Amino acid sequence: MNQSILLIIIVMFTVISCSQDSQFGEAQNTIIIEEDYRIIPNYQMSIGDIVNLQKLGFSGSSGIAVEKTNYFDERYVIYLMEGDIEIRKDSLKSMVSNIGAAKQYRTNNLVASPRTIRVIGMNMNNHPTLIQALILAIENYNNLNINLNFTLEFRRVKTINEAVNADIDSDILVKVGGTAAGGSAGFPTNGNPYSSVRISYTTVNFGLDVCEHVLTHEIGHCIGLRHTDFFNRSVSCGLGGNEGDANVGAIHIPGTPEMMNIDMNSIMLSCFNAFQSGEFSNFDTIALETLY
Amino acid sequence: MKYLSIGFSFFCLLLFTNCDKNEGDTIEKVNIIEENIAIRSSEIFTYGLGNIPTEGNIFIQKQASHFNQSEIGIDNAQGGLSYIYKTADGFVGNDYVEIIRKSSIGNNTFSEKDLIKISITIIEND
Repeated sequence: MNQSILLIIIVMFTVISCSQDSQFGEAQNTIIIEEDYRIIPNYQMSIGDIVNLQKLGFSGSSGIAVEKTNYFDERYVIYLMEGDIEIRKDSLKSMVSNIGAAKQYRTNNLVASPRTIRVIGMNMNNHPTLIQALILAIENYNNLNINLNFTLEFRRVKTINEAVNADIDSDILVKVGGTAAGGSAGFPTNGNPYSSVRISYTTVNFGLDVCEHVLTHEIGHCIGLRHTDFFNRSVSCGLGGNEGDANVGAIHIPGTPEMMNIDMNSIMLSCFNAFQSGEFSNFDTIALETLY
Repeated sequence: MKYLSIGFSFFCLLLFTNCDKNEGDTIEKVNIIEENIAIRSSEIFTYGLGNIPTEGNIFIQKQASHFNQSEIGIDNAQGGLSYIYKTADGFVGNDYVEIIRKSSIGNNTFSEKDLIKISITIIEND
């Protein structure tokens, strides 16, 4: 009887101690903030800007000059390239000076291939969007021409034994946890992928594509991908610095383009937003097909 | 008793592996960003926090003191996050808020932290 009481106290303590990651989930009011775009008619782009855009890989691309007013009433000129790629005129020089810096990167350790990676989604039954997102993320990897094959299974686990078995039966165990949108994973060791991925249920607030993006990103870490902008997180985050080697390595992946330096579509950028597609960029595909 | 001990051991093991490991921060770098802004008491102040760390967290560490609204929300225009502040009705003076942004290289260890200190001076409407 006393033992049962002790166990109940421990369970209560666990629930309390594991749920203090409060923060982001508290205030998720949706706020609409408008920005103004105005096409600048008859804009004369300087030769220097044309050359710099060509260096960034926009040779032969179409673009328009737009004046943008942000919500601080700051006005600046952007070049809208290929319909959806924004480049600030005043950032163009610094972007060119970083050419070659933003390629896809991997850790020192990779997963030994060829092999099958068994993925189990554990206790995700209350999160249909995350289930669908995990299916799509696995499809992303299986659609690549690589020597890694991913299998996916969902398990509802009620006992410790079942949890231990799910851990044993999987190479990557996917769990729902945490309250801040996003997730976490780790990096390969001894030729094996990192053994677990966590995704927060609040990621669902951003929709299916973002959940697919986060899960694909985390599995990318598990098989050895570093953040594409690890050298300067502000590329995707707006803030932040260099993650550095971080004792896991940051090795450029051969085959990723030398000149097109800002892969803002990479699924492995440090930060995400509500508009992610959940799909690999062309450079991500090249990187993974080069590695595996 | 034996089974209970074994069960308890497994439970402890599960506890350590299942908990969100945010508690085990090992912050190596802290970038401090200081903003001083002045607004009229009827204005809404918005501060863009950029995109969301895939592995990380953004939250208000020190809440403002005189507000009707002081929170982080989704910025529908940019797709990332913004901090939004609206002063308390009739308040004129100074307010202060601190926002923390933690990020990791992809694992559970937060290696980088941005501390955004925003000092807000609220002046009377015209």
